[in-house]
Order: sequence, then structure tokens, then C-alpha cells
Amino acid sequence: MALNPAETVWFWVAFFAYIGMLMIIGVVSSKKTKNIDDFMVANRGIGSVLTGLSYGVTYFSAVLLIGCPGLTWMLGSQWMFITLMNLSLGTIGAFLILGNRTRKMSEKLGALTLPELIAERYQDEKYIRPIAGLVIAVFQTIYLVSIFTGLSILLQVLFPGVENAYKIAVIICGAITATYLIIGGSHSAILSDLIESLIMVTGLLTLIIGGVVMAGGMAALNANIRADVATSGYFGLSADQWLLFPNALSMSMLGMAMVTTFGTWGSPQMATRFFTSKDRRSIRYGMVIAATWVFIVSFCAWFAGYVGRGQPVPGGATASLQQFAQNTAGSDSVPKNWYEYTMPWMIVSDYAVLPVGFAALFLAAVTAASLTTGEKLILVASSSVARDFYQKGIMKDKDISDEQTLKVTRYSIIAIVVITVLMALWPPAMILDLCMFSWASLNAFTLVPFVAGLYWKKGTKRAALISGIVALTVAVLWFVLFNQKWRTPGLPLLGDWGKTTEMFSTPWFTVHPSDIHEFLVSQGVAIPLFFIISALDKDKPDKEFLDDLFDYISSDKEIDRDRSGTYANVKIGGLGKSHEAKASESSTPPE
Amino acid sequence: MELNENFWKKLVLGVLIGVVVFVIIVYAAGLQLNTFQVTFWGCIAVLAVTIVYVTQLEKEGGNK
Repeated sequence: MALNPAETVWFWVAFFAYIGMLMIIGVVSSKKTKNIDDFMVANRGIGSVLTGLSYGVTYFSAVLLIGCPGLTWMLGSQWMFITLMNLSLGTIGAFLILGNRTRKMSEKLGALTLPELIAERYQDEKYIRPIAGLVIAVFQTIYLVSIFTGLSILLQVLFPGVENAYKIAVIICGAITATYLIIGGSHSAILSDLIESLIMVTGLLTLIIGGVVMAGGMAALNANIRADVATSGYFGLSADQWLLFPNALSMSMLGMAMVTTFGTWGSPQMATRFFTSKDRRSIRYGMVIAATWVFIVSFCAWFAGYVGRGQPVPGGATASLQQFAQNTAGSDSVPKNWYEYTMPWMIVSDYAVLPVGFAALFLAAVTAASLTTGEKLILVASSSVARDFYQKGIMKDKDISDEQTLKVTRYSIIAIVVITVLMALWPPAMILDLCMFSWASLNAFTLVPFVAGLYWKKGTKRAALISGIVALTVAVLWFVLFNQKWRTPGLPLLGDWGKTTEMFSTPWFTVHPSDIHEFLVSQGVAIPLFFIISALDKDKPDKEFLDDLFDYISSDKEIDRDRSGTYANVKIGGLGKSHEAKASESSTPPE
Repeated sequence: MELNENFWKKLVLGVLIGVVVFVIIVYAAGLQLNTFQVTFWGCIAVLAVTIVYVTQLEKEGGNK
């Protein structure tokens, strides 16, 4: 139940070939990286293809590939519905509602990071940037830990029986990621997306098509699932309930759908994809590319659990998966997170659905996915520490230069990688939960001020700050107190109450406090709080500044600047048309 | 007839939200629809509308 020696060699060849490519990209990019604008937002010169692919690849990581198939397997096919939400509102909605306005506002205000954008938008000079910078650094690191943990589950299948192999691999990955990020910055992270996205799409499509064919088509797949659910049902789900929506677990699914959909809107690593875009056309075509990519990858990832459970396995697919997880983890009993081994089971077990020889390449692709998403998180977190917390926060009065800030960014990269690697050496269970917690917490602070700030002039800095802090506190407390999988015996305060108290019932499910995701609760607090405080606040925003800003972001005007970014002219067919200079505004370019 | 981007944006957003709401209503009504089929065809419909939207905007306004 592991790769054979020849396949293991192929894995390492493919893996190091990919890493080698990244290093070359890093070295080439370093020659293009002349200033902090280049490093952080690729000189705002990214075209449509890379804008779209970069968004898609940043959206989905190893967490998706490990966590999603497992949830479908255990909790039912209704979880695939999340793909529709992620596609329509998480991707297309984000591009339509946020894309061009974010791009123009970030350029007009000279913002390189999301905290900077929010602080400049609300004309706050003291608190928003350093606090947001710190929040982002902390929760991006937590997200990063979940990614490294996903990596561990995959890499375990490479070294069955070797005790510290995963830990060594994590350290190597961390070192490589940090090295080429320090060298290349945003340019290298964005171009590596192109390579990674091609590998991921090819691998996932092969996995899914191979799985359906091996099972004998959709009808056979469904019949096998019915038989397996009858013998290994969880949470009382019948076969019909497994295949249909709604069922007893629908509230949990909707919570996950909301956080994975709207959680991207306020996530700094997603918002900064728009900062790097060259023009409106890049956003528009980028939307089509991102949507197509998200559909293929997200659908395949969720569907993988469906395909896996529908495989014709003597004794049942679930029993086989549990045995596989136990053997791979080297434990005496079935691990609690056995369902997270779905993807490795489909790749390297006796019932693997990939063609012989392809498993190694696919494993390398998923490893690559983890690394490149990780890069962007590290970049965002280190930028937040250096620029928002350090340069414009605690050292605001000391006139720190951009060059010095760049140095701090690079030191921060090293520090964050070291912290993440140390945390990942003792990985937590339930990586999807951890990932969603970090998204919920980040969005608690940023989502409402960011989105409202793009459209509503009357929001105040006090409202942005207070609503963010209160919502973040609520998100963290809700997770710690109510999340059944994370609630420790030392914190029994409200856990039992959260599980047993009925809030309301439907014909299909009953909702308890612990069923409600911290994202929904924190946004439920943040949204009214922001608008109420803004309405009551007597310290009103500067009307002239806002009129000028909103005139610009809602018009066709563009600031006259050299946008000939390194990858501005990457084309696929006729989509990536060259930038047409539209110098219609003579205002001073941003700092 | 030329229509500006705001019109198309509102139209597409309306369709996107409409598709999602429709699916939720269908599900909530307890109709016996397979999740796989609804998700797959829903995504295809959303993608198709998006491509039509972008193509139309390009015809009308280019990079404006």
C-alpha cells in the first residue's frame, strides 16, 4: 500500500524537476524585482491569464485535495454543492463585485497590502494597519500549518514505516519555499501558478475519469455507494440521504459553503490578486479563466470522494480506506481522520484508480500545489508584518525606507517559515477545520470594512476597527468553545450546551449552536456593528477625499504609469490582449 | 443597441444569484434530484452565462 521503488524514484524526479523550475523562475524574477512594488504586487502588470490562474490556484490548495474528498466520502454527495457556490459567488461574484474596484482603489491609494488598503481608505493612521497586519500574520500562519499538514498525509505514503520522513520533507519544503520567495517575491509566486495549475488540472481529470471508468460508469458507481453506505453509514445517513440534499448534516454543509465562498472575499491573499492586475480587461478575462479553473478543480476534488466510495471493493470501500489509513499512519487502530486518506487511497492503494506510473506524478503535483499556495500565504503574511506592522505601524515615526522594509519582509519570510515548520512537525487533526477557522478569523476583521469600503462612503475608521476586533473575538471564542473536534477537555464551558441546545428545527435537520460555523456568527456580528457605529460616529470621513476616490474607481480613468509588468503579455489564444494605455488622469502616481 | 457594463454586471449577478437560489429552493422542496447532476449542470450554466457576458462586453466596450 505504497509507491513501489520505481514509482518513488519517479516521484522524487518529478518533485525536484518542479522545484528546480521554481528556483529558475525565482532567479529570473529576481532580476525583474527592482523595488517594493515589484516584489509585492508585480508592478501591477499581470495580464488576464495569470490573474485568473493565480486566483484559482490561491483559492484551492492541498487542503482542498485532502479535505474535500474525505468529507464527500463520509458525509454525502451534498457537499459537492459547495462547488456551485464557490464558482458562482466565490469566484465570479468576487471578480464582478470586488475585482476592478479593488484594483483601482489599491493603485489610487498606493496600497500594496490589504491592511494598507483598508487603512488608507478609512484614513486611519494609527491602529488599523498594525492590528490587521498582526491578525493576518497570525492566521495566515495557522492556514499555512493546515497546508503543511495536508502535505504530511500525502507524503506518508512515500515512506511507509519510516518514522521521521515526513518531518524531514516538511523542513526541506519549507527551506526551498523560503529560498526562492526571498529571491523572487511576487513575480515567482505568480508565474509558478501557471505551471502548477496545468499539473493539477491534468492530474485531477485523470483521477476522476479513471475512477468512473474503473467503477463501470455512473450507474455502477451509485450502486456501489448504496451498498457501501448500507454497511458503513455514518451519522445515521441512509443511502438516499447520502445521495440527496437536504439531510441531517445540511447545516454544517451550508456553513462550510459560506466560509469557502465569501471567505475568499476578505482574504488578503485573494484580494491582492486584484492588486497585481494590469487593467480592467485583465480582470474580465481573468474571471473566465479563474471560473473555468475553479469549476474543474473544485468539482473534481469534491467528486473524488464520490468516485472513491463507488469503487467496487470486496468488503466495502470504506473498510478498505480505514485499513489503508491505519497502515499508512502506522497506528494500532483506525485514525480519527481516516477519511482524509481518500486521495492517497485513490492514488496508491490496491484499489488505486490512477494508471500505473501516474501516481508518482500526481503526488508530486499535489505536493507542488501545497507549496505554491504556501508561498503566497507566506508572502502575504510577511508583507503584513514588514509593511503594516513594522514600517507603517510601530516604526511609523522613524521614516523607514522601502529598502529596509524589503529586508524586514525577507527576514519575516524566514521567521514565518520556521514557525510554520515547527508547528507542522506536530500537526493537528482535521486540516479543513483549521483552514476554515483561519479564513473565518481573517474575514472577521477584514471582510466588512473591505467590501463596504469599496461601495459605501459613509463607513468610518472607528466602525472598521471596532467591528473587526469584536467579530474576530467572537470567531475565535466560537471556535474554541463550540467546535466539537477542537474543544479540549480543559475547556468544557459551553461545549455540551452547544451540542444539546436546539435553536430551531427543519423537517431535515435540527440546528444547535455548535452546528453554526464561526464565519456566520462573526459576520452576523460584524455587519450590523459596522453600519450602526458608522451611523452613530460623529467623526465623519473626509468628503472631498472620498468623492475624488470614488470618482476614480467608478470611472474609466486610469493612472498614467508604466504597467509593462514582467508577465503582462502572457497569452492563451486571443484572451491576453496587450494593455492599451489609457492615460487620462494626470494625478501624481502612487508612492 | 449598446448597453453599458453596469447593465450586464447586474444581469449576470442576477443570473448567478438566481441559479444558486433556484438550486437551494429545489433542494429545500425535497425534490429527488441527484446532487451530482444539479451541481454539474448548475456550474456549466453559470460558466456559459459568464462567457456570454464577457464576450458581449468586449464587443461593446473593449477595455473601458
